[in-house]
Amino acid sequence: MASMLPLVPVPALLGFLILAFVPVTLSRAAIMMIGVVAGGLPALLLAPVVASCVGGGCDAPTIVPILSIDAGAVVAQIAMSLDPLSVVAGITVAVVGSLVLLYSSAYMAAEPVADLRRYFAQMNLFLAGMLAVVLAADVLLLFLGWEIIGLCSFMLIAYYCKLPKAIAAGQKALVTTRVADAFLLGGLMLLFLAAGTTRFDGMLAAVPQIDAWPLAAIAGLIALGALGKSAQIPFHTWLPSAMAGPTPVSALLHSATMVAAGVILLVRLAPLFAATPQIAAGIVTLGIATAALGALAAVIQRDVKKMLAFSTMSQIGFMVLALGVGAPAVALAHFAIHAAFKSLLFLSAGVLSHAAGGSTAIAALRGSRNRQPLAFWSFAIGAASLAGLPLVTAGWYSKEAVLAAVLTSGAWGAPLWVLAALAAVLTATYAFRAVLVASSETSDVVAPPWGGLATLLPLFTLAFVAVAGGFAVDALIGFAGGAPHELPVLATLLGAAAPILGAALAWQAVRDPQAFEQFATRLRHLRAFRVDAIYYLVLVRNFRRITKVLGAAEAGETEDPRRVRQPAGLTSINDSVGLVSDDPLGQTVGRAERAPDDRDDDAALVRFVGGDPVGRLLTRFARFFVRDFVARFNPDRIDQAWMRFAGALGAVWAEARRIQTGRLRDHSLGIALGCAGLLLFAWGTSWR
Amino acid sequence: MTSTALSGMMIVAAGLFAIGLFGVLARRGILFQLVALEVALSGPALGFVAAGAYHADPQGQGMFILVLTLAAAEVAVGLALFLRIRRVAGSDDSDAINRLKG
Repeated sequence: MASMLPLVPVPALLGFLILAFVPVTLSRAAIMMIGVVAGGLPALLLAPVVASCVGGGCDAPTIVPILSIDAGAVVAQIAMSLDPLSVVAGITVAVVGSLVLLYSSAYMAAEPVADLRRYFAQMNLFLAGMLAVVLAADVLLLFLGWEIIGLCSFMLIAYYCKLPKAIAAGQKALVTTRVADAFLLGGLMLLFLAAGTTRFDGMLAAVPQIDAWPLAAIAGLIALGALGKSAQIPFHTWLPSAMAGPTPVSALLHSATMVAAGVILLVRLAPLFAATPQIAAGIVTLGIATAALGALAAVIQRDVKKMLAFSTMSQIGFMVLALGVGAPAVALAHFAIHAAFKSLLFLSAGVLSHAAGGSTAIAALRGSRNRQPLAFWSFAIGAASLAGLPLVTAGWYSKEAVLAAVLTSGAWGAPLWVLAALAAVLTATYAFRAVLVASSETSDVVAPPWGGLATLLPLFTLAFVAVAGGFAVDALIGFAGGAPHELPVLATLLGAAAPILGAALAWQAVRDPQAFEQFATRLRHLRAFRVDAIYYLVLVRNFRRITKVLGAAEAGETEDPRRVRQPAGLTSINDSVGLVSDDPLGQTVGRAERAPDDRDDDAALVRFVGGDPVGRLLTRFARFFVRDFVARFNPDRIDQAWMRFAGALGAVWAEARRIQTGRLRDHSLGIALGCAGLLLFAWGTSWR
Repeated sequence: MTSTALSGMMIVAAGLFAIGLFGVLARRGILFQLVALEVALSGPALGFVAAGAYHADPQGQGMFILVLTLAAAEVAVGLALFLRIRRVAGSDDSDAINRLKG
């Protein structure tokens, strides 16, 4: 069974290759068919592997080598690993991915910008990259997949590529995660140098031999990289703006791919962090801060997609918290459950916002219960699971497991538990606020019913998992090698009270919207939510100043760069992707999106790469190459000689044509001469 | 048969062929060219017979019969073509028939 593992990402990759590179015009139906089938096959391929693993095939982890590069002292190996972690994460990614792609085939058909071929190609590549990350047994394959999902997130967030804001959001996600990736790459390289192998098992086995300080540096760098991908503080700012992409993209990005990749990496390397308590403490700090701040920020959102984005941050914070306190199995379980209910929330929110005329504002959801009852109840189930409604939802079990792991983690357990429980209260508040708004009746917007089997099947499946998955949580934790944590009854009761309290707060907020709005406005002005502005002031603006000075000195450019013209008809798309104009982040991004002045004629250069001297290096090299090497041989003498020859050839043939007189005697003379030539040749060769 | 005799025969054969070739090249009347072709063919035919006798091998005579058959067929087809061409072109001058020129 293990030998099937390398085949798992292949269908998704093939789907990408077909859709991206086959130069045949495909019909919409064919594109959807390829996209959905290629997205669904990995799950089918993985199913028997998972079944055999659950049946005891994973008792000893199996490594399936794909390619070995013998580089002298070390052998770099690309391999896949069959163990509880890769199996749980792999099946979660594959199933959620296939459901999201199925849903996309209905959702994207109704979108104003329906470039389906690009969309499905990138989604398939996204899925293939994430599968490579979760199934990897070595850092090479992991990093490959890691970069693929980074690139795909950029392309998919910027899917509405006529919208400067969408492109800026994609750029922001890419740049932020690239900064983190640099840390990760540094950490992985140091770990490789210390351990002398690229395989995780060898690296983790070498951890005890590494000195304390190098080990701390390695663990810190890797943790920063993983936290950047997972949008944890202080790298979290890209995630809310990533809402500029289509809703199914958000669903996939937030539940099973991209942000989950960081968690998967941390789980994979958990022994490394267990060996470095100071780094683990840092991870705990960032995790709890993200969980709490994300939940707080989600409460005050006016837009349902933004709210869900902050919610993801917060939930990933819970996972990171569990990792930090040394319970990777619990983090993995929460990852699987979270993937189900978060994609459920996004997908049903997509249906609801379509039904509400394309607006993603929470206020616009009013009356959803009557317009789209099925999607509304899906959303409600997802929200209940997110809030962790006691006993009946899967979210409660996995969240309780996290809280239990935190409480039993040592001296700092109790205060951390309190903070985490408060974050859980806030989680229930924002989750139920959206549901309560959606179930209130004031709206008279009549929208056509929207949804078919392709929409409802993913919703029902995910809703089922979001409820019934709870009974699998303990088994999942045990399967991944963790032990369920025993909690005092009081803590359990308090944990169960948290969602109820949150629901009560939500009820209060919906009943008295003015008071809530006042509270939210006050909260919005908190400094803690201004990380974006700080980044802009400290990093972006200064970098731009430097590049402007350097660029001006270089190209003699003095004009201030000009703003990009907004394409016509922008507002409608703008509404449909839920970019709210009063958002300070959007304004920052808007400023970021400027194009250089194309009056300047040092020319193509500035137009293509702008005033950034570093980015211009490659172009400068290309220009130097053309000027000093290519131009030297221009005009090309050899080429000229060939062309003269070719020109003369025509005249030669025109002349040779006259040989054909049509006369029998000339013809026989030709035969005779040929015979004579052959005879001479024969005589010459046989003559001794 | 000695090798000297063979050489003599070969020279005669080459002469016959050369005479025939000269006839084909020099005459313009199609009928004369056909006759010259017959002479040219008899050259190699003699060569085959002589070589066969020298090597005591019946293949030479076999080849002669093949050449004979070929010549007969050629004459049959050639004469038919000659009649047809004369009717179409109104002339038996082979140089006048040059409609296939390039």
